Amino acid sequence: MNPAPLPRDGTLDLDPERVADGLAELVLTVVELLRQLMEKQAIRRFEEGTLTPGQEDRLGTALMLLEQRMDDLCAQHGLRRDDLNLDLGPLGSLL
Amino acid sequence: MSSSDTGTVTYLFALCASRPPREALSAVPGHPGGGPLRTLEAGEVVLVVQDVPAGDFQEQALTERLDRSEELERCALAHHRGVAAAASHGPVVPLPLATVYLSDDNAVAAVTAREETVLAALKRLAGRTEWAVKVHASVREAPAPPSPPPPSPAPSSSGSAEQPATAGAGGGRSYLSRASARRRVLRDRQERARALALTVDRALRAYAVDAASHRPQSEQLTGVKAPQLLNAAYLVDDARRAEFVGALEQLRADERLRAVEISWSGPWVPYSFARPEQPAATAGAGAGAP
Repeated sequence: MNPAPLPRDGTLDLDPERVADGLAELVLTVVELLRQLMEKQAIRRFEEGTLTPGQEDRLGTALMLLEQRMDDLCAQHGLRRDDLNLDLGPLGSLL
Repeated sequence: MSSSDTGTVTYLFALCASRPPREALSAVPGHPGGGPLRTLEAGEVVLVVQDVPAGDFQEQALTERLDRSEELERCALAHHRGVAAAASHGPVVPLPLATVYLSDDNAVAAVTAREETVLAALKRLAGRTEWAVKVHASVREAPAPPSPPPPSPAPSSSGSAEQPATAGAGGGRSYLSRASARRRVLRDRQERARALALTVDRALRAYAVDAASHRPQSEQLTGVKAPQLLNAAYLVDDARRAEFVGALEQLRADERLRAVEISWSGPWVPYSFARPEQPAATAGAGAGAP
């Protein structure tokens, strides 16, 4: 009934040596939220067919580069993409 | 409000229809630092209580304690031990975690004021137990379609704002179309899984007197790397328990439900159905006729 406590408990660790990692995780989570919102919007426009082929290409390229950049940043801070999330209590999770 | 000068407050675990045997209570440690479990009477209702240190249960101290997961777990376990002891001999209305009164008199007065609803709740819960059922998306299913592989070299930085369609050599467009397809697959899979969870819920409601849906738990809490689709509790007559469990086993074995994972636990003290304030009778009527 009671799961064993997990190491990642969603709190910000204020240990001076680890606070930077905690902050990086928080900031990357926000960036990831924005990236997903942009991607969602781009895909919606793409599916509606309201973009010119040129716009589609530029948008797709930008999103692709952003995605790669996120992977790089996560790797730099020793995070997995799944780690980028926040539990918003009754609202569910952020991403 | 009569403040207690003994430095203790009265912690209320559960309400019973009759006094639990003394041995059942004395064997239970309750909250650390508190006295032995004992009973009070409010009309026909018996209260199972414990004297606990006031300092531990003041609003601010309590909020802080319950914010820490280990403390919350310890507190919840102590609470459950008290409730389980009270439930060992008959129906109980378990109270929410950390229900405290300044004194015995206050606790008795609060229960007396609601005696009728409490008695009705005790009557409704008699001979019934709670079963918790959780449905997850199956982990056997591929967790997500592969994300689009990074295609060949990025386009020579699209410097001028208005470049023609050839800028990304179609790389950007194909990324978009793959991302769109991936999203569609995910969405379809989620919708199918949700529909399956609903099927499970409907099937189980047929055997239950009442049902309650709780907010799905986070992956962090469940430790299962798949979204929780259903977190429900069912109030089941003891007479139908075998049928209910049989239905669960049948659902788990059902080939059509392979995309979801069903787990359950029980019987539990009916925590989810014990709020005397709730117009539970109407909720039950709604759930009883799917």
